[in-house]
Amino acid sequence: MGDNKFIFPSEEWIEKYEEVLNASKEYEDAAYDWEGDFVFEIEPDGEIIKESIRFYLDLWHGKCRSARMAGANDTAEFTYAGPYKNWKLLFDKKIDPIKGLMQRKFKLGKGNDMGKIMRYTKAAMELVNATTKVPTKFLDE
Amino acid sequence: MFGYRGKILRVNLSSQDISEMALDQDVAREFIGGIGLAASILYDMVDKDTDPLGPNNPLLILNGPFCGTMIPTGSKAAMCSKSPQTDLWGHSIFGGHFGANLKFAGYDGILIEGSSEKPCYILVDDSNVEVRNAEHLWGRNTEETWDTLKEETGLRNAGVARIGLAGENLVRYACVCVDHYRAAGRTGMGAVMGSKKLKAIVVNGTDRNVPVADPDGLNELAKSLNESLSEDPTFNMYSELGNAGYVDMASMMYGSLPAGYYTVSDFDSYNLSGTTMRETILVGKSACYRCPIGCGRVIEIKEGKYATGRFAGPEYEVIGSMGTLILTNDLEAVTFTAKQMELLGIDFISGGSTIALAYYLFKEGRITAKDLDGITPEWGESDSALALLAKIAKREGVGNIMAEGSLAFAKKHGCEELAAQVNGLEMPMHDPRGFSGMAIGYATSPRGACHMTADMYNVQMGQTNEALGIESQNRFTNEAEITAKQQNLRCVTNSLLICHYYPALAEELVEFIQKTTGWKDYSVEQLAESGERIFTLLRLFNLKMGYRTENERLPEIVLSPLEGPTEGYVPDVDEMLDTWYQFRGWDRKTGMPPKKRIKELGLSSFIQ
Repeated sequence: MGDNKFIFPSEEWIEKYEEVLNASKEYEDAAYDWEGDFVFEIEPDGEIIKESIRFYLDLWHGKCRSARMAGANDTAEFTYAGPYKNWKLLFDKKIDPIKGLMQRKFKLGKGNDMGKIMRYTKAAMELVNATTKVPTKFLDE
Repeated sequence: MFGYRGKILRVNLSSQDISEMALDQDVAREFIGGIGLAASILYDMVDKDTDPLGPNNPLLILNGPFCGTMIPTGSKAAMCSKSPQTDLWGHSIFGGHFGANLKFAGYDGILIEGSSEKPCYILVDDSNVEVRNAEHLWGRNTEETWDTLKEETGLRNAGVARIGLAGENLVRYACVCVDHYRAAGRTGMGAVMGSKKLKAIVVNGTDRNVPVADPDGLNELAKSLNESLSEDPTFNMYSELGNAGYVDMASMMYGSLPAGYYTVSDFDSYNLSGTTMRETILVGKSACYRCPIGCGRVIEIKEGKYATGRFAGPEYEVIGSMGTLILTNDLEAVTFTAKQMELLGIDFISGGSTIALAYYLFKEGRITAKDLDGITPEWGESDSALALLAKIAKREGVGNIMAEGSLAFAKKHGCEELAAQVNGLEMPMHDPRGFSGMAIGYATSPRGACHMTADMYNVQMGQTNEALGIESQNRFTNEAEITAKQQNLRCVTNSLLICHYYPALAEELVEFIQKTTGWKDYSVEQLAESGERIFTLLRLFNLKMGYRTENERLPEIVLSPLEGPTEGYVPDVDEMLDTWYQFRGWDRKTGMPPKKRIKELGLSSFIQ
């Protein structure tokens, strides 16, 4: 950690993110009956990210029950994946999670339930909003 | 001539003459098919004085060059005519298997002129074409008509386009139901058929070998694109949830699904979404010809007040117009209402919106039960909507004025500004306060308030077409220039007749065009020009019909700020019109494109 910022992605960043998310009333309200886990995947781009980096979030009734870096074999009900530059756009709120999908900047895992995602678009927005509350230093900064 | 059959069937219902007209290859390249080609043909056949419901208003049904080929979702067809709702250009695009059958029968289209003395239907069985008596079908609903025609022709897989009671009674927003409840819903094509005493058109074609320039290349391209688009979120959403899958997002995230006749911002539409449908009444899916998506829903309600056997499930627009717009979130009630509309042959959008206006005016005390033949509509209940629907279809009592549309109904009660319409066509369920592009799109659309000639909600949610400069930055800013580009693109896709739900990029469309037609030099630039040519032609058509730029505005009902996801945004249509006209280089006062550009686009023969 440098300048009181957490490097994204890292265990420390995810730990802080879990804390911020669990303090978010907005997220709690939007996801009060959500049940399901996520793997967020930063795809390799050959420049900043050489191999895919994944982290796992167990989300349950408006809270994050656990968050950690994940390995290649970790699975979850949903996978949301995109290259590093697009994660930066997302965290900067230049795109939103749904817009990211529409613009093909992100993709959902094969067979993931679109209906369930559609139901919780507000919660998805709050998941992203929470990232902006984590002081973040990106790998290429 | 690759991609085309080179001929259009011509049926005169007054004289009963049946003939064919040749399709010129150069004309096909200029105007492609669908709405572009139709406008180029109809321009000389109608004028300002043509009664849209008179025998001199022809009805032209065209398919496009992709139709009947392996191109996914490319087999739609368009019904075009002067619109009885707007007195301007009218078209409605529909799916199903009708278009492909027409192509397999050897035709690029059917031009229907005149009107029959007695109810009739047209039967096209390959090259055998007949006009048959339909007196036994007159007065019957669209389901009975479909069943009877399949039975009596013995053509169980034929494409069948038919009208219900609303079309017969010239309800101005009567639709045409096609095959398994796809519909030519907008601009009153059902009323045009009704005015011709034309109950139905049955088309059966057997020659599936539509000639294309590069069959192997086309096959490969279609396969690879299908594969890559299978990861596309909209593709998946429409496939898994139908277009009702958009309900949650539209209401919760964008506030673009209007509620309480455009006055309510926090209506809970959770129970109406495609996801709820999947969890409750959905029993199957249906798909149009060569469609890998299959957005059509099949539902069944086993018991209760709204019990119904297997039928088409409600789609996004009717969930809005007969659900959120009247503050009903009872999915079974909306489903049942939608079914009645389909049986009667009433456009979901215009019909639903006109009825919702009655609810609103009643709630506001501007009309009473006396004005509604004793009906007392209250937010949240559907019985009044069902009662009004029956009256509208028969033009009985208050149904007679409501059959003229929401503008006529509002005018009668002295509140024209409360009718959510442009040029007489009711707004679809995409509130312009949720997406600025919808505002300018509605104001300048060739066919009134229309979401299919500029689906800016898709663009402002993130759909891009980089090669055409289509990429939104902010849904609450003036993106009139992007809207104009999207209008041009839609003129091309509505002429190719490929479904909007298939999110192909301009480059991909160009490849499809090249491999189908053999126009090897066709480029993205030419695609953009084709779009501009067709959009310009539609404007010239409308100017000939008496189009007035004063009507390029939105009614007051959608210009009050709302809280919630629209964030209080109200579109500045005037500012956007400035940008739009400047980009197009047209005269804002007269609405006229400059003669120089008209000439460059090859449209000189379309100037009056």
